Amino acid sequence: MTAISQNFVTLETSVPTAPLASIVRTEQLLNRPSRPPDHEKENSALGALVRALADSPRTILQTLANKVLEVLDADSAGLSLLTKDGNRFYWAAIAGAWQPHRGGGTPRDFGPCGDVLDRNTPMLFTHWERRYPYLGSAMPLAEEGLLVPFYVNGKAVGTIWAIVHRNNRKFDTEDLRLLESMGRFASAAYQTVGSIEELKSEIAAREKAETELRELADGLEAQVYARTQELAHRNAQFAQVARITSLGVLAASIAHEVNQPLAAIVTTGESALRRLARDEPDLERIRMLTKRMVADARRASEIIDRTREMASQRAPEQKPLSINDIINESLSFLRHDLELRGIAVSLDLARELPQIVGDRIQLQQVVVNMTVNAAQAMTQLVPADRCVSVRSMLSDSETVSCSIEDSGPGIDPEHLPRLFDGFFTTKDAGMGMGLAICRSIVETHGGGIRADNNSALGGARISFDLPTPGAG
Amino acid sequence: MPREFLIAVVDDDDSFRLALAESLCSLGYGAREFASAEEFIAGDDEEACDCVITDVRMPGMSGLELGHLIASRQSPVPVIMVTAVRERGLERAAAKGSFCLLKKPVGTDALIECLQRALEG
Repeated sequence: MTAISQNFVTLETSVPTAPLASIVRTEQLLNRPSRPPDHEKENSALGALVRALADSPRTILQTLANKVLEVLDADSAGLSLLTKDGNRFYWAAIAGAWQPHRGGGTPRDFGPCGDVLDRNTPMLFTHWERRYPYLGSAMPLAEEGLLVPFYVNGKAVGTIWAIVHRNNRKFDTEDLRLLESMGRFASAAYQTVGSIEELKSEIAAREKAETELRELADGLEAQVYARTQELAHRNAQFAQVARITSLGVLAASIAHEVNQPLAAIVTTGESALRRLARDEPDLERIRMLTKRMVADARRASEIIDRTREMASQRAPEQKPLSINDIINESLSFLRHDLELRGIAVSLDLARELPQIVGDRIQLQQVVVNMTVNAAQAMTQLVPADRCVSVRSMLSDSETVSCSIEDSGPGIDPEHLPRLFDGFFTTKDAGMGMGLAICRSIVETHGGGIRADNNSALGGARISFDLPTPGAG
Repeated sequence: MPREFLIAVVDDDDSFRLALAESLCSLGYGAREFASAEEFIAGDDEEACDCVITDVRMPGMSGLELGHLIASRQSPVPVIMVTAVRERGLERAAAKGSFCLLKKPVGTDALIECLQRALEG
C-alpha cells in the first residue's frame, strides 16, 4: 500500500479491534533497566536543532525527526500534528523506514497519537496495528512505538514519536528522557517560527503533489514507451503469425507444386537409366532427358526459395513492382488450393499499368490473404458456383488498384465497419488477423483498402489501391 | 511385342506429362499427351488408345470425372489415375477395382504392373 492510499483510511478499517491495554507497554518501559544518560549525544542533537532553526526554520520539524532517529537509534521517527479542525493527525515530518509515509495521516481517534493526546502523557506501544488495523498497511510494522505529546503554547497539538521495527531493540527510560528533551526544545523552536505548521503543511502538500505528478508523468511516459515497444513487438509477431497461417493454407499447395517437378525427375531419371541400359544407348535422347531433369530440379528449387522468402522475417523492401506480377505470383501459390476447391478464377488485368513501389512479398501476402478469404467464403456453394474474379486497373493517373470479388454470400453489412480490425473474425477457426494485416501492409504502402458487397459475381468485393511513384 | 499399345497421358503439368510419356516410350509403349481432360475428349483419339493414364487434380474436368465419363461409354478403355495427394475416397475406389491408382512419383515397377493389369484385364 502506498502513502497516497493511507490518506484515505476508511472507517471500516479504522474500527479498533484489540483492547488498548493489550498494545500499551508504558509500565514495562518504566520498569525496564535503563542505560546511563548520554548527555553528549543529547547535546549534539540539540545543537543540530539550533543550527537548523538558524539556517532554515522551515525544516526544523524534519531535522527533529532526523535527530530523534539518530539519537534514539530508532528505525523510524516523526512528528504528527493535529490538523486545524482537530479531526486528523497530519504526519508533518518522518525519518527512517517510514519516510515514504510523510504527508500522510490518520483520523484523530483511531491511532496511538489520539491515545497520547487524550492522556497527555508519554506512552509506549507494541504492534499497534492489532488495535488500529489501518496501521497494518504502514510497513514495516512497528515492534515498539514511543510517543510523547508535542506542546505549542502549553497546549498539546501533536506527538513526537520513535519506532523500532527490529524485535531485538527495546526502548528504555533514557530514550523517553531524550525524546521529551528534544520535544521540549522543538516546541520552543516551533513557537518561535509561528505559522510554520501551515507553511510546512502547504509545502509538504505541494511537494507531495509535485512528486506524485512527476511520478505519474514518469510512469505514464514509461508506460507509453513500454506499450509502444510491446505493440511493435506484437505487430511483428502478428505479421509472422499471419505469414505462417497463410503458409499453413499454402502448405498443401506448395507441397504439390514441389512434388510435380520431383515426380517428373524420378520418372525421367528411370527412363534415362532404361535407355542407358540398352546395347546401343541413344545418347542424344539421354542428354535431352538429363537436361529436362535439371530444368525440373531448378523449378523445384525456385518454389522452395519462394516459400523460404515468405516464411523468413525480413525488413520490407522498397522496389518498383508490377501489380499484375504480384497478382500472378500470388495466384500461383494458391493454384492447387483453388483447384481443390473447384473455384474458377477469372483474371482481368489492365495492361501497361504504372509500377508501384513496395515490398513484393508483403503485397503478395495481401493478395493471397484476400483470395483465401474469398475462397473460404464460398465453401457453402456447390463447386460449379464458386467463382473468384481478380482485377487490376488504373483508378486515376496516380493510383493503381486491385480488386478481388467472389460469388459467396457477401459480407454481413454489420461486419463491414470492423472487417479490417485485428482479431475480428466470423470464422470458427481463425485469428481474424488476415485482413488486419492486409490493411496494415496496404497502409504502409501509402494505399487504402475497403470492402463492400458490390461484386459483379454477387458476393463480396475487397479492393485496395496503391499510389504510383509519380503520385504526390 | 506383337503390336504397340497406345497410351493416352492426361496431365496439366507439362513436366510430368512429358516425363510419363517418355517413360512409356522407353518401356516400349506408344504415348499421346493431353494437357487436360477436355483436350482428350475433344480429340478423336479416344477409340484409338488402349489405356488412359490421367492426373486426378486438374483445372476444369478432374481425372475422376474423366474416368466416370469413359466408364459410361459403350466400350470403355481402362483408366489409370495418378495423384500426388493421399485421398481416402480415391484409395477405396481403387481398392474396389474400379481403376488402378498410382502415386506420384510413379515408380517404374508400379507403372508396368498397372499397365499390364489394365491392358490384359
